[in-house]
Amino acid sequence: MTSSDTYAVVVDDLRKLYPVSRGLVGSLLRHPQRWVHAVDGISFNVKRGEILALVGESGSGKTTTGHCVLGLVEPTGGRVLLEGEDVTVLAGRSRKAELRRRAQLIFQDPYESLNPRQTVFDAVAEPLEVHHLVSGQKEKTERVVATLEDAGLKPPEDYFHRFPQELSGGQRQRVVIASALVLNPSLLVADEPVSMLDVSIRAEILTLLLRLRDEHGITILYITHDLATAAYLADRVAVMYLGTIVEIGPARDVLGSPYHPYTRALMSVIPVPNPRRRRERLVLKGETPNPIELPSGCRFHPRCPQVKEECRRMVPVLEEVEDGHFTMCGVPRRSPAAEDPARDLKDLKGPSATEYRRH
Amino acid sequence: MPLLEVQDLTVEYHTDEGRFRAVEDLSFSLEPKKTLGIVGESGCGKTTAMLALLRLLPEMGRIVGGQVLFDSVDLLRLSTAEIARYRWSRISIIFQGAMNALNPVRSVGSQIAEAILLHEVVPPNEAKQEVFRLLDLVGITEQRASQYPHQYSGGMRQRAMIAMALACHPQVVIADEPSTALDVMIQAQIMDLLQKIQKELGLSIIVVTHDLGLVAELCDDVLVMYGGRMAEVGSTEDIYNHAQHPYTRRLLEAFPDIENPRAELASIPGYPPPLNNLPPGCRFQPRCLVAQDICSLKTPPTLSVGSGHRVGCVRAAEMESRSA
Repeated sequence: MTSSDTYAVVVDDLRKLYPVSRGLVGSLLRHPQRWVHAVDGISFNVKRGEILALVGESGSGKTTTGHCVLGLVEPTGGRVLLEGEDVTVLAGRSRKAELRRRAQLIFQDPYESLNPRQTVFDAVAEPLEVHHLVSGQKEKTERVVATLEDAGLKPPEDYFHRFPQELSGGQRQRVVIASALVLNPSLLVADEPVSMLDVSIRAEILTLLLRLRDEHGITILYITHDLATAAYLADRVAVMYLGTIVEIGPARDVLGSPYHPYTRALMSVIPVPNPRRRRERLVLKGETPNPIELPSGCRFHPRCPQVKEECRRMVPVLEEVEDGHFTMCGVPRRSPAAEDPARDLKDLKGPSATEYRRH
Repeated sequence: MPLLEVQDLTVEYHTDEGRFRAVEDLSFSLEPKKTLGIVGESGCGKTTAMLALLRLLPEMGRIVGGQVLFDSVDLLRLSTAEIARYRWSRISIIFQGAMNALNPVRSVGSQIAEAILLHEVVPPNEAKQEVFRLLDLVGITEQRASQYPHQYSGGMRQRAMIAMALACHPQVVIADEPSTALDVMIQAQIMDLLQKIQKELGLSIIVVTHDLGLVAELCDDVLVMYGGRMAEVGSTEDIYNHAQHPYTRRLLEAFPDIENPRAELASIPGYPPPLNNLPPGCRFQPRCLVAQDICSLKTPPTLSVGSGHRVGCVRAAEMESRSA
């Protein structure tokens, strides 16, 4: 069994199904119960101090996975271990407080996740009070000061009495991060933490997350649809499609030389901020099918540009194609890096960015 | 000869707390069959400028100066009835988040038909065929015309909005954040669709967005806005590979590049200025790494640094010689 010393999170054959409402007529006529397969048998682990990005489109199951890891949603099958302990046990009444201290969630929308009537000080101090972690006002203030500084809100005293509406989006997200951080969690699940922020602010928040990992060894599960920020932040990347992980491995390998046709298509359509680099875009037709009636065989086959006859029948499994790099495509190819002409343009970088730094 | 020419457009919001200048001395032009990208962060005035040129500003918004020439006619001088004839039939706009503004209790087809009938594009007995033609143009089958918005996915609702924007055969389509909130693959489909209809219908398009990647792939020219003013305007090549304004350069550095993930992702310290508290002189000066004393004293002049490439920064000429 995996050692709980090395892994912060172990997810083993996790399943989460939601029942589809049949309606009155449906249940009277005894229509069979149908299920939304939100997460359908996924396994992965996250080392301590590692940043794993779960990337995928809406409905891929990435957020449900994050909620299962935090014990917010009870899995239908499989299990999640947090530092070697089963999350469903931790989520039980007696140990729930402990679970909340150890694992925290950062929401997408900093405009919605702060109480507009609560000052920054109170927002950050509240978790300490809820968990009875401080004995006096002085200790509380010290913890809040240290946490606000950690979250990059300096000088902290300037923020104590401010309300969320007096803060910019970036500052709000720092407050959200601070109120998660104040409990010294070992795991942060960050669900699209920058997608609502302006471009110039995003980098700051991502850099903050990186620093928290480097300085405090916090493990981060980064949930996003944005492969470009995942490439910047994550050590490893798991690509999800219709409730399954189709490719997982080191970020450099998965995003730099993807095997799975879905990952390759996703990578090819990300707009590149340079008009000189035109790439061949593999735009998939249609949309992700609904997770109620899943396609037979490989789930991706109806949209796959390289579909073969066997894909309709055979359910693929993750296979290791390179060190630590797994892909689910039933017919793994050699790494496409060599054959893809667009890759040669990688070095052709606009002069502006580098030259500007010289000033 | 540009199809649309905006000169020194200035817009103010008159509120209880005072007057705020949301757009100041904004000038740009749109050539026939070209795509112009307008980029900037939230609150930079890009949406306000678009609403102003169609005279669709909310009640507290006032156009206090400038011209908007469409085919040499100043839209700002037209009567309310006259401008109404330009909207949708000459210039149409796809509002940000409009795909969520469809009426939930009416079929998508009937909502498009309503627009067609209201503007008398075709006789009533041909409206249905016209709806089918428009839906087909954006890749939606006839059968789905009778469906309701909730039966459409986000991408399809955005397609339906594009179809509606095309209903009165406009020459210019303004798309405000057309693909924000859509998944990457759907975003790519919408981009392809915009390019397809542009080619087929010979449209001119203005794309308002904060996504620098989208602009690089879609646009011929780019206007960068900051704090209600133009920071820089030029061809896509000028902006992405010869940017002269410090803000443009920082913005490009802050944008993650999937093909170059190891590059340091720079952030721009500080925050965009609130409209009710604009800094003196150049609006970017408090966040600018190369600001000088003069920058906080007066508004920088617009310098021409190349064909169609203009920069609102006193140090622009200097930057050019340094990076050359």
